[in-house]
Amino acid sequence: MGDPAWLGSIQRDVLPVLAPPVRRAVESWLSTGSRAAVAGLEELRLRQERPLVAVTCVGDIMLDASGRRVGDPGDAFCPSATDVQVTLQLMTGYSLYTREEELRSLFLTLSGGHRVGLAGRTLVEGDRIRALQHVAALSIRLARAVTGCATGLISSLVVDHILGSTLVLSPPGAGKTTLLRDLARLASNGLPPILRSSRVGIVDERSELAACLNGVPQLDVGFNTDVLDGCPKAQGIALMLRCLNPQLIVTDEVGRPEDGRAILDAINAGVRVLVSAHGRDLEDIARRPAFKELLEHVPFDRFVVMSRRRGPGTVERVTARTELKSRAGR
Amino acid sequence: MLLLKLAGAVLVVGAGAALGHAVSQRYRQRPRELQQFQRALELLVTEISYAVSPLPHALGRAGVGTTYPVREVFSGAASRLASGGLVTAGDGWTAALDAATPALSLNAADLEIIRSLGAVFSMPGAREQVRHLELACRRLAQHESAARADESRYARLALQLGVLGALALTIVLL
Repeated sequence: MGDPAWLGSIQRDVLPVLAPPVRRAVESWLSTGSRAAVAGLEELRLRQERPLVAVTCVGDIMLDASGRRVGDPGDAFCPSATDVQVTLQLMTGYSLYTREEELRSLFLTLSGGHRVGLAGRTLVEGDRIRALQHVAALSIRLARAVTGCATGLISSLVVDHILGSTLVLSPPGAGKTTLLRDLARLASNGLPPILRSSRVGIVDERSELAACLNGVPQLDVGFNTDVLDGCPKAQGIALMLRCLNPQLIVTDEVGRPEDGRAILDAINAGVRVLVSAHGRDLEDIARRPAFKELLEHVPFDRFVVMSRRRGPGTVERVTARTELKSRAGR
Repeated sequence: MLLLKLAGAVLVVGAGAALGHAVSQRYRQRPRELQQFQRALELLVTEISYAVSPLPHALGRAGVGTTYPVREVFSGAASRLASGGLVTAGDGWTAALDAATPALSLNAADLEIIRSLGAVFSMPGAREQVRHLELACRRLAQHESAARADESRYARLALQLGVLGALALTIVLL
């Protein structure tokens, strides 16, 4: 029933931090639910007074209190306000104040790299979220390291036996982070005779790529990799360049203009970058301020466009810079 | 017969003295325990706001400078939280306080302040928690001043009343 290591991580890192009634429902579903749905579990959604939902590759499934699949929202188990609060307390080890910065960014990272998105009532001070006052919904996105998922793609991304600067694009949930993690692992370890090993630096602002616990990666990102965990991307890229002498910098979900400038600086400093961004295609992201300046210089060697057309991890196309330039010339 | 009466008198006076001593001790212990709670809460504020230690660790550290039975509250809450399986941080605190209450010399109003900290530990922000902990410290300090006044007024009186009351009872019985 799915990857035993991944199920083990759910049992070890996710189930113990769920409020007991939610834990019972999920645990029961994991052992009695359909094999395809359990193996394709992507997210668990706890919304106060609304049905408990398991997001899977075969669709969203509502669960009742005994973990059975139900079709009518009226029959589904609806977590109470206490269930949501208790889950939040368990996720933070009864120490919400130690995760204030993450709470302000509306997410938490659990051991094992599983990411929890938060929704509720925000308290705003100036233009900044000061606190999340009432958390009413938790979306637990389950991290899944798919070791080897980038191996088939690697030959199209290599330039002179080193991974070329690459931008990976897709809408949310298409597997960008998983692909980036495996590419970082391959770049770090090398894949003779195609790819030489490089010093890799990961700027992991949201602790999703390497899933660090106390600074130590919990997922395989290669032996030759350093990780700046929880560090803002623009700042992290500059620090990486100054302090850690990387040959490849990897970062996820680029979105701010300063991120774009930092990436350009890194490429101009002779370092290759491997980054991802939300967007359906190049035209889509070219309209975003973070990429306007960046794409004018076209610093990437390769562009990878992904989708969920055949499930998460579908690579639609890989475009080389030369191809893009010739298309622009026409 | 006389010997029996004498033995009974000694027993009554001894019991009265012991009762007086016990009441007197409660008057003496109360300000000391209130002071220890304040010191521990001050340390807890530092652990939360500067060290940003997880609550189980912070509670354990805060209780280090205290003695039995105050230490039992902090170490008991820390171990309950560290072992997990609780519903909220407040549950761990309340359970530890309930377990230590028979050994504490605090009155109901003192215990209410300390019990209310359980809700503070479930607050999301360090700023809010620190504000409530500091407020609890100030309230405990007020209770401590009153407890010191009670100690100087009633501690010796309770001891003397115990002995003298027992003596009066002995005379009446004899």
